[in-house]
Amino acid sequence: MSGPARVERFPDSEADDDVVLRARGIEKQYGSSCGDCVELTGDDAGTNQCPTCGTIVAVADADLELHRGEVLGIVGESGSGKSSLAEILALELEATAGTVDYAGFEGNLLEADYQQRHRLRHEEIGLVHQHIRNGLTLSFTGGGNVAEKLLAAGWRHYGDVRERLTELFEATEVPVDRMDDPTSTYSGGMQRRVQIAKAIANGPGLIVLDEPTTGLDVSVQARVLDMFREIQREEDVSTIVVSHDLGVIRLLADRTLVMRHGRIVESGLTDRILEDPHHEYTQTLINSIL
Amino acid sequence: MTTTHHPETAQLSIDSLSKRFEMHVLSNTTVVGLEDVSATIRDGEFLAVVGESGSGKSSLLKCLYRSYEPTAGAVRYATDDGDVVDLASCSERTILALREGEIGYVSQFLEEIPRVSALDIVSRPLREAGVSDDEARDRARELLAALELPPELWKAYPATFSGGERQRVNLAKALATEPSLLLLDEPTSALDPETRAAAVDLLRSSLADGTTMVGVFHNPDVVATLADRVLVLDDGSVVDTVDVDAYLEGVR
Repeated sequence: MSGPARVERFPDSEADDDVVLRARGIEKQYGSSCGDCVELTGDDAGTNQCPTCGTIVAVADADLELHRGEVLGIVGESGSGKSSLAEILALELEATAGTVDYAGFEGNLLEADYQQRHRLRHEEIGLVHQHIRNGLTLSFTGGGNVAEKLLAAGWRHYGDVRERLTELFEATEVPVDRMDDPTSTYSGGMQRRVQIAKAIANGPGLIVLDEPTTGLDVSVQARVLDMFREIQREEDVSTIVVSHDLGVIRLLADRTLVMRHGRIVESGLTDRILEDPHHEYTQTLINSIL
Repeated sequence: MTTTHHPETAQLSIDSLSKRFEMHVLSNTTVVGLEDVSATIRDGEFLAVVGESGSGKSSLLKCLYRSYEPTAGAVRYATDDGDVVDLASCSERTILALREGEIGYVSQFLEEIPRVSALDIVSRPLREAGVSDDEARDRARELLAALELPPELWKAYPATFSGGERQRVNLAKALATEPSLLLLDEPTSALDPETRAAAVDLLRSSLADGTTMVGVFHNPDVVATLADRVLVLDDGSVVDTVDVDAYLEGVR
């Protein structure tokens, strides 16, 4: 990861080459689907469950763009569809419909075949799972967890791998001398850092962070977010951060999408969303901050 | 960042700017923040915005920074590259790029990631703009010293700072990148007279370097020292735009 040069951003360049990811009409349904499910659900209907056939419309009509080096926040309550949307973009979940253009990939990313998916998930898209157990094998060493990702991307030389691991542990502020201890012996904060080290290991073009502060003590949350922000800026890596916590979104995201009942109900600059919320739901959300 | 100084050209031209808030939680009440506000700010000028609380001073600054989305009107801004951009309607990407490179905003309150030191907060925008770590920290130390923040606090976390100490960090952070346009919303409200004087000196030298400023200051002495002209707001509308001397005569 030899610090890619920062992309020059000119004030009125709306050039498409700045777009890393463009998603259109992303949809995910769970159920038999009667054909009217999307119409009968959503923000206006006040539910994500089809009243006719009971199908759950986790996400529908979701459009978004992500630019190079940008951090896009997705906020909403549980069941709003935010994690489903993020998992689809991270190729962890199959969509029912939709297209995703991804810089450097020919065709619809969502239709990538098994081999392409495998490669993309190891080299191009880093996902930091909400639940640490889904992202790490706790019986392996911390170094082993991260090395797994390097080996999948074709790293073979032992010395190179060790060197890279040291670099990644230092960047994510995990004590290098704990590298060969089982991950189960790490604190929650360290486990989250190892997950981040794993996600950035192969210099991905996209990182998806799902509820990055889940399970962390308040005192550790801020350090982890700050560490991530430093790395994100340094690598200029495009990021999607999913959280129900507006504090996390405020600290990390440049722009934010608000989701409810499986739909994006509002989007804008993060400070605009927080200070001048337009949608009824966003206003309620902002007014509910403790 | 190269800024050519043209005293007679408009850095910012506000044209019939309005902001209304639709409050869904209050059974769809509409609250008027700004109504048909127009003003021109010349390159390198300081425009003070005054008015009672609730008159729309902060709303105006937030509309210029796009923390509020204007309901109607235009804000033509001359960029460092020589383009003119309508801040009221340009893309979010454009706003983000301008915020990173040339438009700064300082509020009364410091909002930062907890457990990041004052020195890192102030030097970060410079580091992100590509300045080396050492150089960025040197510049941050210079600014914090000029604002008389005790050196023993430089490596501490601002969460435990007093309001005045936090405001100094906030101001130093905004000045570090030498923005072309600086929006100031009572950035010295919690400072004692001596520290306030230091802050005003720093703002004055930044003005001399060509930064254009739009500022809300409660203290008339600060307005007298910094402002070229004064925009008087009442109930979201412009009552008057006058030279600072005429304004001060009216106040005294």
